[in-house]
Amino acid sequence: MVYASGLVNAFTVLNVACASFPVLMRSSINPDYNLTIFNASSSNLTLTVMLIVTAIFLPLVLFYTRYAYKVFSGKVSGEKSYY
Amino acid sequence: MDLLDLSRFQFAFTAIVHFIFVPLTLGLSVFIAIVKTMAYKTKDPKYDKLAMFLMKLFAVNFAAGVATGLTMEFEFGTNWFTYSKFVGDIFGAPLAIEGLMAFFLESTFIGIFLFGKGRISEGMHTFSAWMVALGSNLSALWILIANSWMQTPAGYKIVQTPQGIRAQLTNFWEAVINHTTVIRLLHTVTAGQITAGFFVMGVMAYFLLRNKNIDMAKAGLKVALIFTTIVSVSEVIIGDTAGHLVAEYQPLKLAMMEGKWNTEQPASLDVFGYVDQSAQKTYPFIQIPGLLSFLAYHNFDAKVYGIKDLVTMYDQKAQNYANEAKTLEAQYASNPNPSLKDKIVADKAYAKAYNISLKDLPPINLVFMPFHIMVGLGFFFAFVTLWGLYLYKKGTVYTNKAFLKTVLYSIPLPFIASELGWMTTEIGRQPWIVTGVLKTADAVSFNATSNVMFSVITFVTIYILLFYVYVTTMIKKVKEYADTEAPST
Repeated sequence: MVYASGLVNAFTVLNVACASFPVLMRSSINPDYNLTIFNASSSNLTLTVMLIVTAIFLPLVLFYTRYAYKVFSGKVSGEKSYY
Repeated sequence: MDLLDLSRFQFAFTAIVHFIFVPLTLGLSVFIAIVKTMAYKTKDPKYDKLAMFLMKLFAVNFAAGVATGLTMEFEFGTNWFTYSKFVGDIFGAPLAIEGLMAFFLESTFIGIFLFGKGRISEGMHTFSAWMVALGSNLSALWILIANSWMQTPAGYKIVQTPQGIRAQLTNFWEAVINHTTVIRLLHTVTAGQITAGFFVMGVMAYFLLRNKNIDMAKAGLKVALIFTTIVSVSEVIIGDTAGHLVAEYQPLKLAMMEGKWNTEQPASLDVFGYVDQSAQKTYPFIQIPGLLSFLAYHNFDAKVYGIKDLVTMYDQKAQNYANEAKTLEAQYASNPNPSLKDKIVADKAYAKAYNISLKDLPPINLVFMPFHIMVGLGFFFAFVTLWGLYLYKKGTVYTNKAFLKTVLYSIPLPFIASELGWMTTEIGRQPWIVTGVLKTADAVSFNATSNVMFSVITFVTIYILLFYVYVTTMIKKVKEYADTEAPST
């Protein structure tokens, strides 16, 4: 159940992305002014660097976020809060 | 004020308010991690108390820093659209990496540190403190990479795209290191550590003066004193190195920092003075012959270029680029070679960027004075900590009222010194937003002036309110903490 609600979020984003591809921002004046994934993108080199950085750090972020969830999971007890 | 001035004011104002919080975040995170490690190693409860107490103050500071930092990232798009379009390919990457590598780390572990005590082991708690410190300092690294690239751009080329001209990344590591990232990082991080050191010493002095939390206050003052002495003495050396790099890569900034209108060889140092910009003169109060040549180039006879000569030289450079572009265009007409086209685009961009005159310069007093006051404060910090160390040797540091009051009332000074340093750096970079590549005047968005006026008024109102809440909350937390314990004599 917990994962199902996460999947809803993921598919909503995916749905919007697929529906509007390749447009990111639609111009109401002239379709030529649309910002598309092609004309708004960075250069190949920048995208490559960002891909590498994301491939390394995103799993790391997910890993410690999961740890944080685990630390604070469970029922709230009346124990003393330190903050 | 016109659109450009208002946009400048808005960014300057938000940046200045943001940087009230940043130095303390940078330094205090490291200091807390050190104290927490001492608590973990010695099992002495006073260190643990100190780390938890400081983390409460850190949390307030962190929240204010995040809130004020976010608006700045949006302003790149709303107020400096041409800039974003021109440098987005390079400037965007470090900002994105900062979020991914640093900001998530810092904000996740600050939660674990603050609320996880008792739920996680002490070892993990100490580790969390170090992750907060690592996260905030990695943030500084990537933001300073972005800023240093604006100061001394490298690893890029200017190209024509269907959406207009832009600077494109050609070498990631060259762009990252450029020429000044390392020293800028050291200078900023060390300034943050001085800020945190004085902050902790001041708060501990407050406890000692009021005779509260004596055990913790003594331990805190001792650790903070040693920490601050090391960093404030190092900062004198780091600052000197930073000065060399300015002399080497940004001679116009150096000339404005020192109020030098004319080229001098050897150049004297005006210790303090006043710049009359319309008369193109600087009135020094104290002048030391040859010292500027030595400080800038480590040679008492070195030549230091003046503002007037530099502006003429840049203007000449602009003409050379324009002429080269013309020649190449003629060549291109007979031989349409695509590599020639890129060169023409770049030449035209440089010709536009270097086309400056004396009236494009910023208010030079706002470069000259902040710089000199900052240097003065830097020496003051080193002096105060050495005085503290002397008292510590004598064994009277915890009771010497003059010293305790000095550090207590010195709490705002490192914050001010950091702001003055950034004023020097940022105003000193003008007339450019990216040195020698793009002028600030050419980088602004085509907003309606009234819109910018509206956002300026809104930001100023909210930020002043935020600052007021910040200061009162910090003071309240310190006072509350002092009152939770009975006098311990």
